[in-house]
Order: sequence, then C-alpha cells, then structure tokens
Amino acid sequence: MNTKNKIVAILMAGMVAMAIAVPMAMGDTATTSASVNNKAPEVTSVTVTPSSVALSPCPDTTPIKVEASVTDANGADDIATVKITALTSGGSDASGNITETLPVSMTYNSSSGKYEATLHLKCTTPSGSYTVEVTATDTGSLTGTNTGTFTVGVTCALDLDFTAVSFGAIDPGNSSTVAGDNNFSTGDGKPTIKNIGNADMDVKKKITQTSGPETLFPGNTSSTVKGSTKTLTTTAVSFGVTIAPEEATAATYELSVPAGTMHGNYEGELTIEASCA
Amino acid sequence: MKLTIPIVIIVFLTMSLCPTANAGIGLGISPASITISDAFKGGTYERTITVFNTGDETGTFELTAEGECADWISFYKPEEPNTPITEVTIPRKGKAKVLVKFDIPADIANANYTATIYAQSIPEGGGGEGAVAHAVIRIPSKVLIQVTGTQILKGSVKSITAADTEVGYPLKIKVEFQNEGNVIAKPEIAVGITKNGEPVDSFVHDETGIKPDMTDTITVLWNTTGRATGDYVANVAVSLGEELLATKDLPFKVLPFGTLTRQGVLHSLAIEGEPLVNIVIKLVANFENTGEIDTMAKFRGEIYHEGNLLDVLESDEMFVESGETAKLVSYYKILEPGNYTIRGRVSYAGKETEEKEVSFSVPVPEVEESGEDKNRIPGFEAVFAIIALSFISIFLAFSHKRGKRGCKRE
Repeated sequence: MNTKNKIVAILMAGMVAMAIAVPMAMGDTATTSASVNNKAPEVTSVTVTPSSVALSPCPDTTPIKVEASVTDANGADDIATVKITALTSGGSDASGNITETLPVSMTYNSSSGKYEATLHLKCTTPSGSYTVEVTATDTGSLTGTNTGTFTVGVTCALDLDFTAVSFGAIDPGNSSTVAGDNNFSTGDGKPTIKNIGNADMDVKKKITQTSGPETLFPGNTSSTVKGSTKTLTTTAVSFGVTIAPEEATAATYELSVPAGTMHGNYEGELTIEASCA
Repeated sequence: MKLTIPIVIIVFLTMSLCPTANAGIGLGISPASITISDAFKGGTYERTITVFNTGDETGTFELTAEGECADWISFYKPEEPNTPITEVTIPRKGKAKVLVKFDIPADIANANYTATIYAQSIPEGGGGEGAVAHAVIRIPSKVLIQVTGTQILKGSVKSITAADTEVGYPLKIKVEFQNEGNVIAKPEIAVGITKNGEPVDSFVHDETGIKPDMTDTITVLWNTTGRATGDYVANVAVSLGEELLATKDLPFKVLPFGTLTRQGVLHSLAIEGEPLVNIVIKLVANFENTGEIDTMAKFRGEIYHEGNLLDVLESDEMFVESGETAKLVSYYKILEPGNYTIRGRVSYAGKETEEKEVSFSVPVPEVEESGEDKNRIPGFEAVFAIIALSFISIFLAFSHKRGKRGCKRE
C-alpha cells in the first residue's frame, strides 16, 4: 500500500468511527428543559350575605359576610393572599362605613371551598347599592380581582329616654311645662328623642285621652322640637324638622289646663311617630 | 355631712322602686319602604321586615297596616307562615323578623296601590298623680304595590355548585335561583352524570317553586349508594319555560366512606320563655356542623335542681348540612321553684361536642291577692319602706353622735 492509499484509508476509518461514535456521544449528554408560565389567579365570584342588608339601629353594627371563589391555573397553592380591597358606592369610596380598615384578609373555608371575611357596617351607613372588591394575589405577585354587590335599606328607628310625660298637679287656668334637653339620658326627667336609624327623620305627634273626668290633653297640649311648636290633637301633626342619624334633640311639652276643668287624675297617650326620608 | 348617707340611701331606694324612671323605649323597622313591582292579580307576595326593640325592657309591639290596600296585608312569624299575628314580643335590645304577606285580589284594576305598615309600642299605663301622658312610639314602613295584568315568567341563575361526597351520601347540586317575574317559577334542572366521559345517570328536577322576587337555593340530590368511587362530572342545565338560563359542568369526587371530616361545635345553650312554675321552658342548643359532610345531630343533657340531678333532656335528631347551624330544641316543664342548671352536649356521627351549661332561677309563685289587698293604695309599701329606712338611718346617725359625745366625757 502506497502512502496515498494509506492516507485515504486512515481518513475513511476516521469518518466511519466518527459516524458511529459522535451521535452516540451526543445522545448520552442531551438535556431537555421547559418552563411553566405563571398565570394570574382568577376571582370567579364574589357574594355578599345578606345581599339586602337591614341595618341594626345605633349604636350597633351590622355584620355582612363576603365570600369569594378563587382559582389559579398554577394550583391552589400558588394563591398567596385573598383580600377585600375596596368598598364603593356610586363609584365613590365607601370604606368609611365599615369598622374595619381595608384591605381585609380573607380566610379559606374548607367546608365551602371559598375565601371569606366579615365586615361590620356602621349604623349610619346610608341606604343604597354598594360594591365590594376582592383581590387575589399569587406567589408571583400576579393579581386577579372581581366584585360583588349588596344593598342597604333604610332603617327607621327612634329612641326615647322617657316612657311618660308627667305634668303633675295643675291648678285650673295654669299650665305645666316639661322641658326637654339634648342629652339622651334615661331618668333625667328631661325628654329627649334620638334618631337611631340611618336616614334623616321628621316626627309626627298626636295625643289621646285614656282616662280622667273629662277630655283634657287633646287641644290643650303643645310640643316643641328643634324650634317647631305644634298643638297636639288626636290627629298626628308633622313638625317639619330634620333630625340627622345619631342626633338627639329635646322634646318639650306643655299642658294648659283651662279654667273650669274638673279636678281629678288624667291619663293620656302621647304617640310619637317617626317619618324617615 | 352625717345626713349624706341616709339621703343617698333614700334617693337610691326611691329610684329603684320606680321602674319606669330609668327606662327608655325605642323601636325601629327595616326596610322603611317596600315596593312590589308588576304584582299579578290574584297573586301572593311575601316580604320580610325586621323590627328592633332598642328599649331597656322586653316589649310587645302591635303590627298594623293602614291605607287603601291595608286589607291585603297580613303578618306572620317566619317559622309559622300560616298563623297570622297582630303583635310581636321582642327582648330588650333584640330584634324579630316578621313575614309580611300581600294577597292581591283577582278583581282589581291595574294601578299603583299604597299602604303603610306600622309597628307600635304598647304603653304600660297606670300610676301617676295629676296629668300623665304615656309615650308610644310608632314606626312606619311604606308600601307601594304596582298591579299589572301581565304574567311575567322570568328568572336568573346566580350560581350552580356541588361538593365532593362519600359513597352512601347523596351528591348535592345547589342551584341559586332568583325569580324576577311576578308568578311562582319552577325552573327545570336537568342533570347528566358522567364518569371518564361515559354517561352514568341522568335525571330532571322541576318540583321546586320559587316565589316572585325571591332568591332561593334549590338542592338537587343524586344517590351515590352503590356507585364506584372516583372522579365524576355533573352536567347541569337550568331552564325556565322555553328559555335555557344556564349550563355548567361540575367535577366532583365520590370518596370512600369516612374520608371527609366529621366535626361539630355546640356554640351555646339557651332557654326561651320565662322560667316559672308549671311553665314549659324551651331549651335551644345551637349546633354548627363544621365538618365536610352532612350529619345527624341530637342534644342530650341533664337538668339539675339545687345541685341534684332531676331529669334528662333530649332533642329530636336533626339532619344538619355541612356548614349549617341548627337549633336542637328540647322542652321541660318546671314543677318547683329554685335554682336550675342544664348541662349537655350534642351527639353527631359517633362523636360528641364539648359540654355546655345554662343556669336559671325559678321564683316562688305569687299567692293570689285578696280583694281587700287589691284595693290598697299603690306604692304604699314602697313609701312605708322608705319612711322606715329613713327612721333607721336617722336613728343610726343619732346613736353615732351620742357615742362620740360619750367618748368626750371619758
């Protein structure tokens, strides 16, 4: 074999060896890799119970339960936090109507499979429609939000710090006044009425006679509320005043006993009717 | 200074003997207005109002309606929707729900009709010298009923849900439905059950009616007895009339018996009604099923009188859904006065809750007063007691003064 043939033979042998060896070597060291994308959590529904709220009168608060269904394509373990992030009404912030400070963390309830939290509405929360926003955040800081709604109705409620107005013994031709004050305190002998609902209030009053030698109260009794004085009869009369929620105001009563009135004890019923806006 | 203590005692006694002196009354209603739109002639509509007693004492409140359609309105306790009421008793600082029914006559014209519902306190009356006017609070809730001649069958599905269950326990598919029409709606709920894509069962539920303007949950059950454990899918379709309202595929698991947790909490024991001799008291055990599956629950307790075991109490066994709270009720007739304690726990799913107890006192029954006694001067005993205590106080003050003088002499 000459030198030229030797070189060709060596090259051929090398090529055969590489054809066999190189692919095998590549197969031994190959690696596969993939990355899983992080997907944002989804708040699929937000419900508020009750959906129509009857507010408790002041000073109590009224609890509402917010529940949210949350899913995450990366699995439930990827959900880091679920929080109530906003409370609005008519597009404006209404978080001042709850006792909690937002955001409020929600906890997972394994029985229902939902996240839940309780908010407490203040007794002065205005009537209307409200929207609760819930935000879920995953471990990669991606977020998803959804909203739920509820309505608050008008609670019309009135407190008195007295159960009776006692005018005492009066001589015919004279009058007796029971003066009220703005301090709501039972037993102070100074009648006060207080709006404990969540809407402005006017009052109507009437008085009827329940016992006594003759009719005395209707027509001879007057009352003053916030500067408005009305004579009370058996027909309810409106005072045309505005008492704001949580406002306490004096209710003053005067009974004039006409000359010639028969002596004796007299009893009546003073009806105070709330009229809510 | 020496007379200060007797004076304070006298003032305190005077105030404590006049119960109304420190009392206030308060009343509220929510909502303060009710509107029934598209009311159908001959239809019946229901609303719930809440009446609040914000006063210092338990009160009874009259429920009335005034106005052109007042005759259509009647009141009920929610738990007794067939027995009309005219008044409701509410504990101090408490509230009561009242079911209001509106029965629309079949022969009236299409128009808007108004009325006002009132809750009103009932004055105690009596007592007082001279001229006294007893205060009454009256709170309104305005009613507007818009009567139309058209039947509207309309509704929407708020949610469709199902949860995993165990073999032998039914699968519960819950459909929250809102009736937006003016007649009772009976949505048709068609369910197909598949396992590994193969149909296993199918059925239709169309028996539950939802009243107009009401939102309620219809629970449809699927019997899992004898089914294989594993993953299933419920294909749910809800329709009303000819309209398909919603469809949803709900994956769920049928698990081996005992897989899901059984757990419950006895939150409280309470008695309802005033405990008096010869009166039956109602014992209410508030039990919450905090487990993952429904359970049967029963209250068992013991009643002690002056520390001695007197009797045992048991409620009926109740079915309590997962996540729900139930009132397990038992009754006992009190036969003698004294101090009572009831201790007990709730049995459920072979387990028991922690024990709770409630105590109360039963006063000695008052002896019937004679006719002569009834004519006595009201408050005489109180005045007599005050005078007697005043004398005692003055005597004590005087004795104390004499004692000091005696010391000086020595």
